Amino acid sequence: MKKAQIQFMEMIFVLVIVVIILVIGVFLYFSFSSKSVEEAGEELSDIDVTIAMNSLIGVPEITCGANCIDTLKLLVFSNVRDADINKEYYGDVFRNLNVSVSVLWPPRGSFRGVECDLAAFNAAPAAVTGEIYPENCGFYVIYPGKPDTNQHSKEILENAVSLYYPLTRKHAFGILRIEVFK
Amino acid sequence: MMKKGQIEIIGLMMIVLLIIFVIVVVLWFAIREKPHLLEPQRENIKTISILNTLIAASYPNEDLSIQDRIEECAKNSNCNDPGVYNPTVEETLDGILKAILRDKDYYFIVKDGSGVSHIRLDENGVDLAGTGPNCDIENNLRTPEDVYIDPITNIKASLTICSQTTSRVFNTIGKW
Repeated sequence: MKKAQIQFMEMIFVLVIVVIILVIGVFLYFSFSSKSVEEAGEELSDIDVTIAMNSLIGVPEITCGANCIDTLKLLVFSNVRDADINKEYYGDVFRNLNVSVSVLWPPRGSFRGVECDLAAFNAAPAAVTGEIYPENCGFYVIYPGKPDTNQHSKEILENAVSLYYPLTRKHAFGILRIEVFK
Repeated sequence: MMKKGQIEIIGLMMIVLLIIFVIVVVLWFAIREKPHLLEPQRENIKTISILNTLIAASYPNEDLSIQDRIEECAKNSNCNDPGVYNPTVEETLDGILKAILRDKDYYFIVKDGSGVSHIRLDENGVDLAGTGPNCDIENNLRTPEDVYIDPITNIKASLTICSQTTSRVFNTIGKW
């Protein structure tokens, strides 16, 4: 080969390598920037849900003070929430989150998986052990959010909340659980 | 005196080394774990809400709250006196804390204004030796401030939960 041909090939090799390095650089830049956008999105979502968690306890329909939920209000709230006229309003308030609260202490034993609703409230004493409401159930559904078809993963956030039973004037230790669909 | 070819090779090596250096620096910044700025605040809020919810709960088989019972026993210095309550207030609280903070490492303490501790409980029960939390204090999660049981006599309660276990407390379904 002539000297000019060699120099031409050398230039082409240099160009190819520079292009490869540029492509790798652009790929790395976009992959890392998309990752950081995802992380920022998750962070914002976390902040949003943390705010939601604190504000949901303060909804007048269910609250009994700071970090306190009135269980009797909760029982009635299910009817109010499910009324056709209120569905849209409460959909906005609870942002389609799945919100529930479980009784952690006093322990509910075998009734831990039983929902506390008006049926449990009106139920006759349990067959063998004789438990009546509120000992005959373990959790309340505040808002039964359903995921959209394109939301496939969920995050669960929990926080301690005081559960007030006005009929006995006692407080229990509860866990507010919010399921966030992503 | 170096030939032109040798100088070009050295130049090429320097460029390659420079590119490798830049890639290493970029990767180091990209891969390193970024600190979660909100995490400590969020865990503090969770711990303080656990403590507030705990002392607001009703004492077993009584109309008093746990806060009222602690205040009473701390004022009379009989939180662990079996002659007054059986089981003692300390033992009852131990059972409640174990039920709430299952499998978690924690330290619950009630002190008065003069620094005397009336209740000292950890995940193993009553901390007779008063040695404090069993986990590494540097990695512990503590209530941001002690919670007043009685502001007049300055009786306060505090709760410490190991941060390694706290995320499990809040994020794992079925654990609680």
